Amino acid sequence: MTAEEKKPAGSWEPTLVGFLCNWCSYAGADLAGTSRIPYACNIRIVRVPCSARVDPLMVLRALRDGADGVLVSGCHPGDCHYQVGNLHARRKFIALQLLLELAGMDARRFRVSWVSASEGRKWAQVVQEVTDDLRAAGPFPHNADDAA
Amino acid sequence: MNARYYTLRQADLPALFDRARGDYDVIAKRRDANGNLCYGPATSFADVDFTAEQPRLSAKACAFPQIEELTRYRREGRTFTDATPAAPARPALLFGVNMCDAAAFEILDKVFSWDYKDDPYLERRARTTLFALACDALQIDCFCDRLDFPTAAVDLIAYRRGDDYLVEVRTEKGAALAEKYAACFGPAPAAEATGPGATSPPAAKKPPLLEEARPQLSRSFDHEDWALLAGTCVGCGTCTYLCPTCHCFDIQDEGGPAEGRRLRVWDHCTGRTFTQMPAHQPRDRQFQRYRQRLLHKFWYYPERFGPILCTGCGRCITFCPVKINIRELVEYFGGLKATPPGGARRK
Amino acid sequence: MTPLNAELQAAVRRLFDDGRIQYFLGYVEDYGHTFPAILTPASDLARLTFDRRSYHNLARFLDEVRGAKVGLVCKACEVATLNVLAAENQLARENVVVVGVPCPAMVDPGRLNADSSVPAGDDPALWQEKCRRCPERNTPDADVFVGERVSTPPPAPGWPLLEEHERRSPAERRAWLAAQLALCIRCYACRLVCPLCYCRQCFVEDNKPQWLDKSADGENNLHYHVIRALHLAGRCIECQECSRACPVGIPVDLFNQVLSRDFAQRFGFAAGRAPDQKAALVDYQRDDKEDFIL
Repeated sequence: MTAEEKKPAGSWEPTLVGFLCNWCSYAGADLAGTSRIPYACNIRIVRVPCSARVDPLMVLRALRDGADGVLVSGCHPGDCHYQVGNLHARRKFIALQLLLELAGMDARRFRVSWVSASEGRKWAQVVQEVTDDLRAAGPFPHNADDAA
Repeated sequence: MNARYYTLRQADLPALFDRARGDYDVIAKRRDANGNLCYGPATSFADVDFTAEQPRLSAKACAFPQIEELTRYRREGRTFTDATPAAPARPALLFGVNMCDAAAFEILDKVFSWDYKDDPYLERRARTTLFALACDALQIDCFCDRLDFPTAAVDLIAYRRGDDYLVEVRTEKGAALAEKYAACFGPAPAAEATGPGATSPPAAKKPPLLEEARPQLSRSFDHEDWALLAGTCVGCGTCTYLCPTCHCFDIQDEGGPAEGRRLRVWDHCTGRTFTQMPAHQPRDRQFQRYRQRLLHKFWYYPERFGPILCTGCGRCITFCPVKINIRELVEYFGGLKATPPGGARRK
Repeated sequence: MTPLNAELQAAVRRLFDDGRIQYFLGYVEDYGHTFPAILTPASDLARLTFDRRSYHNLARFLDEVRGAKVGLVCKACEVATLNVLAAENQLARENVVVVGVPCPAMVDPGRLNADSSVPAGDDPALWQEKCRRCPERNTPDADVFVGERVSTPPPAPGWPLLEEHERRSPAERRAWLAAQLALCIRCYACRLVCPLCYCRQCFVEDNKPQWLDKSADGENNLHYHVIRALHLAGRCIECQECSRACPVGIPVDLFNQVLSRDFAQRFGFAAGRAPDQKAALVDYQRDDKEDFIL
C-alpha cells in the first residue's frame, strides 16, 4: 500500500525522492527492510553507484517535477567504495545547500545522510525524521507566494 | 473631431490615462524591481513614467511575447482536455512608446504576414494601438536619424512642446482614440495645425545609412576584418532580445504526462546552437554568427523585401556586454568609413 | 592621451615588433565607449586605452586566439582568472604575456554620465562593488608593467548585497529573488562573458536530458542561476562581469558571492591564487566541516 492509500482520504502526504549509493545506503535500506523495521513509505528510491554520482541538477529536477523533498544518502566519509567519492560529494552538497538557503528554500527539503550497509536502524530513523519534517513543511511551493 | 493635430496638456495626461484604462489594457513605461525603465501593464497613472527615455527592452513583447503558449493540454486518465489559454480580448494601448519601438511594429507586421499568417502575432497586433512619445534628441548610441524607417502605422505621436504636447493623429485607430477621449485634447495652435516644426525621428542630417552602405556591404562577406571586429562577440541574446525588430523564435514542448504545453519562445541567431545540427555547424565561429545578424538586417532582408530590420534604437550597442557597434560596423564594411571601429586597421 | 595609455601603447608596439606576441587583447576607446578589442601587428594602437571603464575580463577572449602567442592587459581580476585557467589545463602560461597596470578602480556602469563618460573625482561610492574589496590594485605577476604603481586602499570589509539579502526571511528571499528573476530573459550574457564558462556544450544546451526548459519562467530561471553558480563554485574569482553584463540589472553574482565567502571561511580557500591550485570542489579534506548531514 502506498502512503496515500493508507492515510484517510483528504490528508496530504509528502513525496520524498531518495538518491542512495549502492554500496552503503542502499544496502542499509535493504537491511532495514529485511529486518522488518517499519518506517514511513513516502520515499522513492533511486540507486546510484556513489553519492558523488548525484548531480545537483538531479536534485533540482526532482523538486521541479513533483518531489516535496530530496534525500541523498551515501557511505560515511572514509568508507566510500570508490575511496573518495563521498568526500567530493560532501563539498558539492555543501555548495548546493548554501545556494538553496540563499534562494530561501526550506532547509527540510534537501537532506543528506551517511548511512552504512549495517545501519538498517539508522536508515529507518533518518527516513522517518526526514518524512515527518517534510510533512510539517508542506507541499513544495512552486510559486514565490506559497508558504515555505 | 477629425483634425490631424491636437494639443494635449501635461495636466490632462492623468485623465487621458484613466479614461483609456476603462477601455484598454494600458501598457506604459514604468520602473521595474531595480528601478530601471521598462514597458509594463499600468493600472494607475502614479506608476507611469511618461518620458522619452528608452526602456531596456523594446515594446515588441506586446504582440510577440517572449513566451507564447500555443497549446496546453491536461490529461486525466485517458481523457485529454485542451487547456489552451484564450487570446486576450481586450484592446491594448501602448501609452508613450518610443518611436523606434513603435515604428518596429510595421516592420514586424510584414515579417509575420508574408508567406504564413502568424495568427498569435497578428491577433495581438490588431488589438494594439500605438501612442508614441517622440524624443527630443538622440542619445549616444541611437541612430534613427540614419535610417528611413516607416512611421505610417504609428497611430498617434506626441511631440513635446514646452510642458505640453502636440499630438499628431496618423491612422484611423488613432483618430478613433482621439475622438473617444476628445475631452482630453484641445485644438492645435494655428501655426502647427498643418504640421509640426520638429518631427520624429529627427530629420536626417546625414544620408540614410543603408542606401550608401548597401552596395559595399553586399561585397563585404569575405572581408578579413570580420574575425577581429566581431571576434569579441560573446554570442549572448542581449542584442536580439532587446531589439525591437528581431523576431527569431523557437518552438519548445514542455511538461509531462499530466500537463504540457507547446510554446513559442524567443531565440537568438547569435547563439552557437542556432545553426547547430548533428552533422554540421555552418557557422562555427562566433564572428560568422555576428556577421550573419548584421548582414541579415542590413543587406539580405532589405534586398528581398525592402525594409531594413532596424530602427536605430541603439540598445544593441548600449547593452552589448562588449560594446560591439552595429552602426559603426555597417559604416565600415559598407565603405563609409576608412578606419574600422577601435582603429584596428590593417596597414 | 594619458601618460599610462602612451606607455601602454608603446609597450604593446614593442611586444609586436619583438615578435613576442601575435595578438594583443586590450581595450580601445571609440564612439564614446571603452570596449575590448583583438589587436594585431597591423593594428593602429592609437586608441588603445586602460581607463575606469575597462571592466571586462579579457581572459574571456583567449579562446578566440587559441594557439597563438598573445598579450593582454590585466587587472588583478584577469591574473586570478589566468591562474584558474592554468590550473584547469586551459592555458599555456608561457604563451601569454601579461601587461600589468595600476588599476584606478572601475566606475559602476550605472553611475557613468548620460553620455557614458566617467564622472569627475574618485568617489568610492561610484566604484564597482568588487573594487571596494580589492586587495591589490597593481597587477601581480605581470611580465611587463606600465605606469606608476599606486597604493591600494584597505579593502572594505563585508559583502553588502549578500548581507542585505541574508537579513531577509526565507519567504522574503523567495519573493525578492522571484521579482529579480522575473526580469531574467535568459540571454545568457552572464554565462557567456565569464572566462571560466568555457564548456563546449553547457548544461543549458543539453537535450538528453533537457535539464531546463528554454522558457524564461517558472523555476527555470532560478535553477539556471543556481547551477551556474555551482559549476563555478571554487573557480569564480569575482570579477563581477556576469552582473555587469546583465542587460536587465539583476545582481546575478550574488549566488557566486555566497560560495566565495563560505569557501574562504570554511576551507580557507580563495580561487585564482596560484596556477597550480586545486579548486575547492576538486579538493577535499577528511575533516571538512558541515552541520547538516545526518
